[in-house]
Amino acid sequence: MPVDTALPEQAAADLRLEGVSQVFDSPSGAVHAVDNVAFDVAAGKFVGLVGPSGCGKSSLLLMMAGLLAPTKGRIIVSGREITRPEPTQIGVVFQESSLLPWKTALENVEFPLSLRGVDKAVRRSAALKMLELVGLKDFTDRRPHELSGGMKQRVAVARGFCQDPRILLMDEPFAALDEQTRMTLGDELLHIWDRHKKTVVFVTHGLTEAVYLCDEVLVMGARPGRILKRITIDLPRPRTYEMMATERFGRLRDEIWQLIRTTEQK
Amino acid sequence: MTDVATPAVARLKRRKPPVIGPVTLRMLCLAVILILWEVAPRLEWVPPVMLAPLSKTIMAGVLDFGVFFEALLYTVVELLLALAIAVSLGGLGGLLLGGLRVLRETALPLISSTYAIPLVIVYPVFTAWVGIGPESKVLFGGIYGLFPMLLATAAGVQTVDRGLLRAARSMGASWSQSMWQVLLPAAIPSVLSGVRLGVAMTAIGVIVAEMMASTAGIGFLITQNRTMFNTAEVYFGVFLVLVLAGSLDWCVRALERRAAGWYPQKLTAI
Repeated sequence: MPVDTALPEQAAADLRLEGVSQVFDSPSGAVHAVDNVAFDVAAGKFVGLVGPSGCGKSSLLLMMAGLLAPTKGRIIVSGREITRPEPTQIGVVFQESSLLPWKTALENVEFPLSLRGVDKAVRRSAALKMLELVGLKDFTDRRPHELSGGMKQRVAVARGFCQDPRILLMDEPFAALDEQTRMTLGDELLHIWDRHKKTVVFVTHGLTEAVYLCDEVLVMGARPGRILKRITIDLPRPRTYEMMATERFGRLRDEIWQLIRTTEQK
Repeated sequence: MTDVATPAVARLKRRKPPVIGPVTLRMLCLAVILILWEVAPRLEWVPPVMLAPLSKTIMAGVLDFGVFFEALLYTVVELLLALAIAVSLGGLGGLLLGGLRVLRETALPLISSTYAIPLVIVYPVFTAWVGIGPESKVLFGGIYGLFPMLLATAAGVQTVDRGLLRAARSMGASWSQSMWQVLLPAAIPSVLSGVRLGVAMTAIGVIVAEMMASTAGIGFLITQNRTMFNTAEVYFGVFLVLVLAGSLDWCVRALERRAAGWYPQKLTAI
């Protein structure tokens, strides 16, 4: 039984998934990576997608990005079905920074705009502004290999916002970073998100990260990949480190953990 | 980790520096070769008809400087044109073959096996089509160098991080944008090693073609002098070919060094 996770009222549903499934053929038969997933994300919300490895998070993200066609179902962004990448609608920040190694930080950030044929002066100033926002004003001319892991992901985040899509999908963007850097970048991301008011779908396997960043968390189960529950994170904004020590934070984190754990054991 | 690393470090520290450095050793070897080149034919360790002494070889070059220079210029022009063919067509072909799955699976194996055929054996047939003028050298050298260039590029394209292409696609890159702005630049390091191989092969192609049937160029000059037993002139010609190949290789290396700044090795990047 698929869990109905649609909001009771979607005044401004920015992203909507309708019965989305992904079935892969494998030598040992069909694999249901994603099974009948349906949810809405309201405009401007920060929604987390949490689940154990192999729960189809990444497949789901690729489908939302228009990079992978769903076997069944539809993905609708601001009223239109997504069938291929639409950079003004949906942007992706990948786990590995996927920065072009021969381009400088600035060139990387303006790359999505240059693909669209945006005038050089315009895109340069947009990219500079974004790099400044992620604290890399002094590193605009560095190439990725001259930057630390955290800096590279900052560039990737800046690039995602510079692309300026309605919805930004983030595929475990800070997973490869150490705990401290991850927390700092999470804070910075919230700061930027607050200023640019984008809809964010944030895939992660970090429970603390999910509760700290998100308005809502969609908990996924594996085999087949499906949504188990939609949890509203009713913590006030702006989020602070002190909140992490509160009972409410712990309860939310625990609820997600219990959901994941019980499905893992099965 | 540490219990493995420590002995290695200790061993490194204990190792004494060699008495003679590798550069000095290389220079010494070269000196020995040059001295033998002079001494061996003079003392008739080898018949002078087979090897002219170094001094005589240089003299031959100095005396016939005009002739050699003209031939060299002729060859250089042929070679540059052939290189243009090899690098552009080889690069483009490699990009397409490596980038397009259909071609990669159908044509690439065929081309790889064709590469195994020594093309020199078809040169006589080749001259029947395009004559023995410079065009045939340019074409033959171009084709000769095209194969390694194409194969290296195709191999390089296949090793490009798919994540980069996926990211570009998500940012709305069209097929040609992905090709020219992501795939090609990402493949540049392998393309350059292809260029280096291609340059060497093109030089061989052009000079061999000149030696087989021609009226001008350094290869022609070598063959002509050989039939007349002008051993010194032959060796001076060979020496010029060596200089030519060496300087071309140096140029490509310089290009590679330049590119190394943009494309760090994966290991040092982290």
